[in-house]
Amino acid sequence: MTITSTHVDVRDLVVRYRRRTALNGLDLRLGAGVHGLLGPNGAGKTTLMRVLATVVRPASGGVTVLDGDVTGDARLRQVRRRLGYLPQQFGYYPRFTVREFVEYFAWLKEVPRDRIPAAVDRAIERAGLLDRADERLKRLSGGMLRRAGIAQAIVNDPDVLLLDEPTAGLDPEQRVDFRELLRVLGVDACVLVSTHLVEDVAAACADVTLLHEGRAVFRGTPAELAARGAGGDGDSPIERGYTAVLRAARSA
Amino acid sequence: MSWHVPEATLRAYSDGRAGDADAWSVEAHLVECERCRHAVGGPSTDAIVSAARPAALPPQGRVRRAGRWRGAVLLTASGPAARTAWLVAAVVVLALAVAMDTTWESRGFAWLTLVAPLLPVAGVATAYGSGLDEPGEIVASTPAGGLRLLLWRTLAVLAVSVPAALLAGVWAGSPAVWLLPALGLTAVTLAVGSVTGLGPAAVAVGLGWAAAVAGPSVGEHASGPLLAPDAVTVWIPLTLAAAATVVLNQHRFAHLRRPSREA
Repeated sequence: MTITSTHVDVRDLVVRYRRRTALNGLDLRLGAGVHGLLGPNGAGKTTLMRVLATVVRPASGGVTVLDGDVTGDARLRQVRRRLGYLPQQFGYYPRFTVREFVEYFAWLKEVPRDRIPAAVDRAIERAGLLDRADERLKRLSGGMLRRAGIAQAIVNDPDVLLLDEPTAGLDPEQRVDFRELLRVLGVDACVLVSTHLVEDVAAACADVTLLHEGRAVFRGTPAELAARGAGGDGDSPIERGYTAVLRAARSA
Repeated sequence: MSWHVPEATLRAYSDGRAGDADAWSVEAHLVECERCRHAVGGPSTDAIVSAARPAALPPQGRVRRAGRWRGAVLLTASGPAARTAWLVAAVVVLALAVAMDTTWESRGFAWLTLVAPLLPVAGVATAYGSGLDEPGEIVASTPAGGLRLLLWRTLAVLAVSVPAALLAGVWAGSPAVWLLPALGLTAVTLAVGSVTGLGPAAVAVGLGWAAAVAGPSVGEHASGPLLAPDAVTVWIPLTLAAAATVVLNQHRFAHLRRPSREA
């Protein structure tokens, strides 16, 4: 592992889909730790994830991941070796077993060959799926598939881990286990978790970024978000904070 | 030992409710006192003891030894064109072409010649970044993503469709005049695809090939000039130029073209 002070540095990022502007001048700096990404549907969470995962190239703006500029091509391959990405909806080869699926991504991520077998089993174990490791993916439930996806994301011990709605489909107990895993991973990696489940953020994240219409309208700790709660609706302080900040952003 | 931990404190300790100071003194006492150790021994102690024991791990799995061969197999055998469905589709198309050729021989139009070079073109069109490659989104974020994986998968496509078409040709008794066009059109698809995306490129190449083959055969000749023996002088430079274009444009495969799904 290389020492990196800023894992993710986004400056004035703009991404457009045909007519709609998905990200509109976003600035964001992230270091090690677990960061929550909140926002209503269409706020640009998934778009930001895809840009950071180097899947799509932004229209304009600077994006530096692990000290490599990912809008160009020179450092792209080195950066990608140290990335982990779990998309919101990820496809899979139904006939692969969990092990083959994770092994496949270990190869694609160019994990050194002598480390692949151990890395694959370790990733599956950390995702809590070791007892189903030789099951075919098409026979797994939604929550187990999600965990297989988490296993492939962490198989290369990434320094930047991007998880888009990772708790969708997990039952409450699995979500608690997952938050525990997040805390362990966040010790020396930068983990960015996008979610619309506010309580996940409150439980697992050191800080929260709230997106609204392609911009960051809030950045702070979950407690600070909860403190903004006056005038918001919701069942918990942080939910009230979330709705209050969004309401302020809409009326601004 | 004359002093023992009061039962209430002991219960608080074993439930994890005791304060730090209490817990320390209880633990210090438990080390010395067997009677209190037994008193603590509730279900939670069993849990602690079993947690301290080495976990009964499931048997070590079957992750293959990570040799070069295994890597090549995984990289080639994962694309959409390595699926049974693709193979079945290729065989059906070839069988239909052969059937048409043998049934309407008098027309002098070679369906197999039309279809055989387009099989790898269709395979390449779906090989990378298409909707048929289910985990394409994750694949595109890996260092192997982009042209490297596309070329591995193109290799797989050719390895399946060319022998299949050769067998069909042997069965139909027609010469494999389409072999060079197959390689050439595949290369052209990749080259055009580096600019327009692989899907549109495959459609354009397919239409162009159909025009080149079907056009002349409407008249007198059974096969067009592009299939004549001396067409080698066309195909080899064309293939090389296409390959050079692909190498020069390789950065264009680095990101997914379509910012398809919104969210």
